[in-house]
Amino acid sequence: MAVRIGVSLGPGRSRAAAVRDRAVLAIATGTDPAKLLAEIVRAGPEPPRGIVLDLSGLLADRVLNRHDELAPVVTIRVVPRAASDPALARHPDDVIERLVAHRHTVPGGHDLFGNELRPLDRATLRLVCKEIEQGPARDIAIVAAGSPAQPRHEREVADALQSAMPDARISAAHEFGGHGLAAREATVVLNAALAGAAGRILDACERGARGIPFQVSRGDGGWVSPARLRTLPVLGIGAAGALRLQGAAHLAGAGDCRVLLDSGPHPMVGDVRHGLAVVRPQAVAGLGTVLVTPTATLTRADTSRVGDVALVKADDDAGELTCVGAAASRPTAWLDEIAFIESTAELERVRRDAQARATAIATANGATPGSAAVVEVSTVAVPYSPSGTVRVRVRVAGEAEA
Amino acid sequence: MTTRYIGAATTIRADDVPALYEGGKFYSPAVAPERTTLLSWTESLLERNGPVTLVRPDAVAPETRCVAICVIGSGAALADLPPSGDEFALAVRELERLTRHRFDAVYPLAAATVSGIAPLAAASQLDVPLIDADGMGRTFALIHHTAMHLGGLSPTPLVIRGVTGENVAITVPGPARADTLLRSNVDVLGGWAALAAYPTTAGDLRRAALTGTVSRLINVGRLLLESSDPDVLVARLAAVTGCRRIGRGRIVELEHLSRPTDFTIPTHPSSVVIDEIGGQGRQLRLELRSEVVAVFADGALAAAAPDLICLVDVLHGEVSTLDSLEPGDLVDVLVMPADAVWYSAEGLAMVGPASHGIPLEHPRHR
Repeated sequence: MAVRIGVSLGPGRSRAAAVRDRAVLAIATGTDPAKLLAEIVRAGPEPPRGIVLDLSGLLADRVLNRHDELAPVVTIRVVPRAASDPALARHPDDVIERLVAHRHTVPGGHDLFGNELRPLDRATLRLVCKEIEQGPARDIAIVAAGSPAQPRHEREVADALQSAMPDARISAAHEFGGHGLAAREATVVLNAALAGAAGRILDACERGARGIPFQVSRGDGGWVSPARLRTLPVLGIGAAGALRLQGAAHLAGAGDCRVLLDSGPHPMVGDVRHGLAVVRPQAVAGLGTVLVTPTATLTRADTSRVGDVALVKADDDAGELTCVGAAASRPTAWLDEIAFIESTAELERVRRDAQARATAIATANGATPGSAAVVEVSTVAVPYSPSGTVRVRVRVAGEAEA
Repeated sequence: MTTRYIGAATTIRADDVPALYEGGKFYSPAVAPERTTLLSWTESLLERNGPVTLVRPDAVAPETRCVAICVIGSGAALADLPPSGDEFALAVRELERLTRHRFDAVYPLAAATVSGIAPLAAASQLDVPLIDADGMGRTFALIHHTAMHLGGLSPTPLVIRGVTGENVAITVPGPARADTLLRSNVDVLGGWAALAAYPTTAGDLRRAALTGTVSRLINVGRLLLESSDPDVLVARLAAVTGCRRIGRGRIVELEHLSRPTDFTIPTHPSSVVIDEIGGQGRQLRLELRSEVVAVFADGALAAAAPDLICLVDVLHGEVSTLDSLEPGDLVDVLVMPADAVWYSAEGLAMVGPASHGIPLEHPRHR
């Protein structure tokens, strides 16, 4: 088996591990990412087959502790009517709202099925463009009601802004899919806020890697290319939890297990299925805000004794487990969509279509063509919705290209 | 936070809202209510306007005019299209205009899910008390599936108001038509709307509504917030709600259109198959619409609507909502009796297993 390297970059000390099969060949720690990379590559018996960097600690540090260094974000909501109550005009979580310099509402939006609820108010859009143009902020987040089903209004707003301000960096919520305006807004605001910082972090990593190609961990424990993370930096948020679970499972040689992470003051448990951490869209540990990008479901609950799967007790250093999990990780994709079906045949078509698109995304993320396979798929009826409304979730994982 | 039984609570404060939300999820585990926006909005209203008075219908004058508040439609739609903030209050104002009566109090149509929180927000905005009573004691699919309807009260005239700023008023002679008219309009308004309905008096609510159903949400919600060990949680819930565990198992299959679809009820039939772990190693089959309507254990009907049937995620020690289930999840299946009115012949005819195409005698009647 080839040597693979996992690196966990932190705001303080960083760690790196060289892994072959289930053996950790070398561990390195340091504060300079470039020196750390050079050291761990040298420590391995052969050139690594792949390097995966976990940036989630750095990204979280920027959001939590250095948010005043992040680019101020202008947020545009496209909804039928502006909020009439100040508590509804802002994002409910301070960790998101403090990243927002200005807010605008452009009347418009669609329902969950893509039916237009109100035509986009182009006169208001023109005014909003002018106002933003006159200000200094150029990182813009757009979220429209119903955009996962019909992104037309979001795209029109983005096009108008880009046309008015060619230097603007625009994040649109439909690129992330998912459900719930608050979670979609948090995701797109974080993405816009982190765009500049993530670019600088990746620049430093590329300088340190000195030509050795690397990938970057995603919140769901998979990875994406650095180029994709530059555009969608929020994908890197919250990766460490999934990587720790996967690292412990990998060292134990267990594809399906419950992992007890026992190294800290508060033992945590999480599940691993098919070698991948069980994830879902939820409040990200540490940030406390719900994102549509899935992260590992870790809990403090003392439920490790419950269950019918193998229990893996991991008291290894958390950073080391993160590195092992990164080294063993694979390119992944996740889709979470609403669809409408009228027959079981149509349900099958909807599932096949979602699986095909998730497979294409995983392949675009770096999976060897033909290697991406569905690891989880679930379709649930959406309660109190018109008959035939289903929520489809698909998770695909592939193998790394040679 | 400490466990304390609040009894018939006299006020609801901002810091009670998280417990109200969790309790609401337990009494309608259909869909994870849009947590952050509605919670923070309602908390903010109570912080700004002060606590809301909670009164039982027999604690106010019988002529006190009351109106039911509800989020009608889909929680998923609400999550993507949050309220602008004036929908519930303006729906009430419009119904006041139509009925030419000022309402002195509001009450939940269904004290569960977001419909347990929305009346609190409306009471705060309108500066009126919240009545500690509701029409369902959980949620049912149709607007006339209420104790008030069984007690002879009409759901109309009613008003719905959407995020689009549009109102629809409905007045019908037969309550079943109200829901038919309502659903199509709710879809056009974006999938959910603020509902003001069942205009009545406190005197009628004493007779026809289910009392104490708001304060019990807070009591149950506190248990859910405090307990993450699933065994402790189930034991505590059993003591407070009378629920029992049918079994613990792993979800192995989610099926759709598994029974003929009755289009008068939202959400198509689907099924969840669970392999029981330990115990008798049975296969549990849950039949779903917007709620779990029946549980079969090795083919035998073990529980059915109007029983409240919910799932607890064993790993996380929290209620699993039906829109988040996945094959592989380890869950406890809990069943709890509904309010007694639902086991009457009329109640069972309306919301019992036969109303969901399961023509079997209810297990509690055997």
